[in-house]
Amino acid sequence: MFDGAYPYSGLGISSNITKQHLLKTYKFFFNTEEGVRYIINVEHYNNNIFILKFHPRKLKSNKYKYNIVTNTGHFSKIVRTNINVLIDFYKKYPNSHFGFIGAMTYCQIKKCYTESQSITSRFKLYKYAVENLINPDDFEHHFDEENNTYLLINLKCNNIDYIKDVSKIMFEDYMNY
Amino acid sequence: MKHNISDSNIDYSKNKAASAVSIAKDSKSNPTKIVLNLKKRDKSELTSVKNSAYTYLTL
Repeated sequence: MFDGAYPYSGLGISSNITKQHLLKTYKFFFNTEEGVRYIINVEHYNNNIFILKFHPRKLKSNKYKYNIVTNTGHFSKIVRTNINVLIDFYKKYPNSHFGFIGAMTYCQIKKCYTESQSITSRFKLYKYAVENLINPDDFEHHFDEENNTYLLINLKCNNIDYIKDVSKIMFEDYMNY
Repeated sequence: MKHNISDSNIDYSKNKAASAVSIAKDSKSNPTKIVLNLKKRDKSELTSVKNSAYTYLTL
């Protein structure tokens, strides 16, 4: 698990921003073996906080693009590709911090969420990936299981409490938007 | 002229229904706000849950 990854390429930078705290969004794409294209959005917030998100390109206009399960069978490879993006951003911004949210699964057929609001299957999988791949000597790990939120605070940072506080506000604004 | 004022003319069931609609409208316009409770994971806890099959990535 998490051994393989897909090569990814840049799609551009979006600075057409309407969300509070958000500076710009870096866009990348990769293709699976079957030719399914995925889009990775890396949102750059104040204080070099980056939030990683991904979705299949075909769902880009779907309001549930982060919630629908595609069952392509490559989830660990897709997650590892996202972690590779995280590492590249860390190299580019050595003082960066990272966060993600494990969205609730939505069924397009039943037209409803099919899991409870806390500790979603995505959250469990992303959490498993970062606790096994991201060294606690490099990042301090914080999480809120009830709200499926994970935050990695760079230990090079002098003011960890400040980053935690601003990230909390940022996540809350995003989730209550 | 004598007025007989009594609350027997007031239909409380209608009032209750009106209140319920009003509460429902309020809760719709003011949904419960999410407040995060970010907890720090101790290094010892992270080490204990780590699967030995994996190696931390070199950053």
